[in-house]
Amino acid sequence: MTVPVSFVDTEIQRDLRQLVTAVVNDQVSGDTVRSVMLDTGVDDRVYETLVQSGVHALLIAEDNGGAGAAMADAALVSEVLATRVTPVPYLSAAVIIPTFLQHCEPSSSRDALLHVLAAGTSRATLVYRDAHGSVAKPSGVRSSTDGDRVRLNGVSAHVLDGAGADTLIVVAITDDGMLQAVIVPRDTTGVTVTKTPVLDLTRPLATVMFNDVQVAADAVVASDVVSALTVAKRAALVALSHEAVGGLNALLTLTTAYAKQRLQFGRAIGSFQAVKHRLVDVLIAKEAAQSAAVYASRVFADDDTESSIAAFTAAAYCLPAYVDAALACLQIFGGIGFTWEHDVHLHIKRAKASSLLFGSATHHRRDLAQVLAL
Amino acid sequence: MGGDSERAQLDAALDELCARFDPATTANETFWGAQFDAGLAWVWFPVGAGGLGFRPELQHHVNAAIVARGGSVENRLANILGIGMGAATLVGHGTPEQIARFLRPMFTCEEIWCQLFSEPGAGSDLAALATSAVKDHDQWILNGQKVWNTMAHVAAFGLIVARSDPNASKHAGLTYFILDMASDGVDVRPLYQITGEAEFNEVYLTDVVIPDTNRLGDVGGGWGVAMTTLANERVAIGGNELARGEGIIAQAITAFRALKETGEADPVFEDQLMTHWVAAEVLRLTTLRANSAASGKTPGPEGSTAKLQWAELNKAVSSFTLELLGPAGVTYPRGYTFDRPSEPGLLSTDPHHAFLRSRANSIEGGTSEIMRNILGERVLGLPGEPRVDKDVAWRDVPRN
Repeated sequence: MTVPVSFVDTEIQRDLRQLVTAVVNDQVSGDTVRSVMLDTGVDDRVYETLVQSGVHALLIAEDNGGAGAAMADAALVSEVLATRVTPVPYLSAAVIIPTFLQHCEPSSSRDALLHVLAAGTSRATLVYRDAHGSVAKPSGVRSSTDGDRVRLNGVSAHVLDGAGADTLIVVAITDDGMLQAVIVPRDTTGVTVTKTPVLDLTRPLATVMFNDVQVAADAVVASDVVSALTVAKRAALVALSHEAVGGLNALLTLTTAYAKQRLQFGRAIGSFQAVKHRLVDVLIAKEAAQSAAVYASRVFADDDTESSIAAFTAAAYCLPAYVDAALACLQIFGGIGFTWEHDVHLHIKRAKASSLLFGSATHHRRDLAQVLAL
Repeated sequence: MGGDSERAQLDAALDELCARFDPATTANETFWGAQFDAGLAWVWFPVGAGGLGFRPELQHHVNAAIVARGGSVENRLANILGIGMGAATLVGHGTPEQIARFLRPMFTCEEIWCQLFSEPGAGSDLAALATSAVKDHDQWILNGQKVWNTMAHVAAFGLIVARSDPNASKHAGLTYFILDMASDGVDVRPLYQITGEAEFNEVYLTDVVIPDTNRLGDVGGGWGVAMTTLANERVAIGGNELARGEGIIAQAITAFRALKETGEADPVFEDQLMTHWVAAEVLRLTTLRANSAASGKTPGPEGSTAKLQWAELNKAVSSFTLELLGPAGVTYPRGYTFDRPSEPGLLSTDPHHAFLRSRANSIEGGTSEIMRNILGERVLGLPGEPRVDKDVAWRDVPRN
């Protein structure tokens, strides 16, 4: 069943939009991004400001010390941050982790961790991919219980913010084939984190190796996380779709301004239909992407089927649309758009990486077909 | 807040209407008349003109409720040029007498309307039109030729724009009229299109007399009035709210299911189907979003976005559906009948016919290229094309 939703911002969302826009306007520019991305890939000062304002804990329930807000609220933060390709681990730490943990069965260790994350004193990321970074294949980490200890061995690649997080939530395959989640402080003996050379330097990835890593048995937060993992990936797709909307908005503004100001043949290039119509296609894509993303974040907590259909639809539309728009805008900028100093390549790299990070649009369409069972 | 109280008043009006005239059993014409009298024809129109002065998006609620109670909203398509475009033009620019005379029978479909805008020499450049209107005391004499006139062969009235001052610049010299299609000198001829049908017509006007009381808006103010019609046209064409899976995509889904049954569906077809499905779903959501945000009485440029996407979706999906049909794709079961349909068929439910008919979707109501110009200039604020005919008397502008 489709769900009737309001496409208009709530009061909370208007406030959030204003708050995050102010942070981004004050602290993030193409120059700060270029500088950060050649260093750690994380703008700690900006993320600290976000944590101070509490938006990192929007998705954490009030009982666990968070704001108890909805996906539509957190996704809006993603959207505004993406307007300047802000290099912060919002996706990994504030969207994926809270969604994942809160879809695991409740436990005292889980709730204690959520409280710490809500307080903002710790940053966690989810380790669940195989050794090649596949999002679809089983985790590359195995666990075995040894008395009151749990031992972890294996490799997981493409760990979002793997080098910046101090806490790893590791999805591991147990001896009896279950998927469990284990809390592993990053400085535990036997954990090696290696930064991955990435296309999009604003979203750093790492490979994490576990070489006979031992943690206490109560570090296991959940013993069957298959469905929590599914929901967490869906949350990522919804947040990325909103990021695409933010990116499309920014590209449209930047490129339209340039098309009005750049003169060739004695006219602003935006007066030529070849340029004008290309920009209008970006406008149309932005409007359409916004509809898809907003619907997906609004119905995220609804029944699984509707939430999945909406998320796969949004991802299949918004993520390629952002790529196409970024490439079209580069063409409109011409030579200047091909330079490192220009901001358009920040969007191109972010867009392309986002469109592949959780499977490509082809995968999203395949998953959508499965849910729809046409 | 106004929103909730409007909704409550609307529901009360709906209940009262349906209590007096059961939508399921009342003859359509009677029901539509009562609906008009109850102010539920166009809820955003003034009281007495078929409306209640409410927010326009509430109309979708009214339409859905009438359908849910077994009634019909088919008049909106059957008389789309009147109900979808003419009505708003009349309310925006008409005299109280015109509003009182024309709106009700328009809504009940007792009087079908057509639009007489385009001409052989004025398509995308509508303002270049040449049909002349010469004032003669309290009446006007029209001469010229109009084209692409949907429903003109069944219409009682036409919305017509003509040139009242050839010495003024092209936009300034136009005047808008209501034409009684039964007038002497009006010759409606079928214009057969690529489907073999003549849904459209050519209309030849020879010394046609229109009383000045049927002028809509000021002399020389025809362009502004026409803009109201066109803005509403784009919404009427593209702005229909659908349920998921409805519209053109339904044809592709049906064809895909048939392939599945015979074991001929493959992952490539499925992926292509899903690409179209996603486009259709996203357009559906965009229409919902645009309607929920609509506030003004004249639709904004977002109407152009929806119309443009709608046209492109119909063309792409209908072409893909023929591919899914396999060998049957080369057949044309209905045949080329050379008849004159009595209802407009923007979109067909027959996939073979839809493939051909949808080609017009990116031309009728403004070409996709003109739509992109409008969006680029009015929404993005990009500079316009150089206009060599600007500030030149119309009679001095080169034309075919």
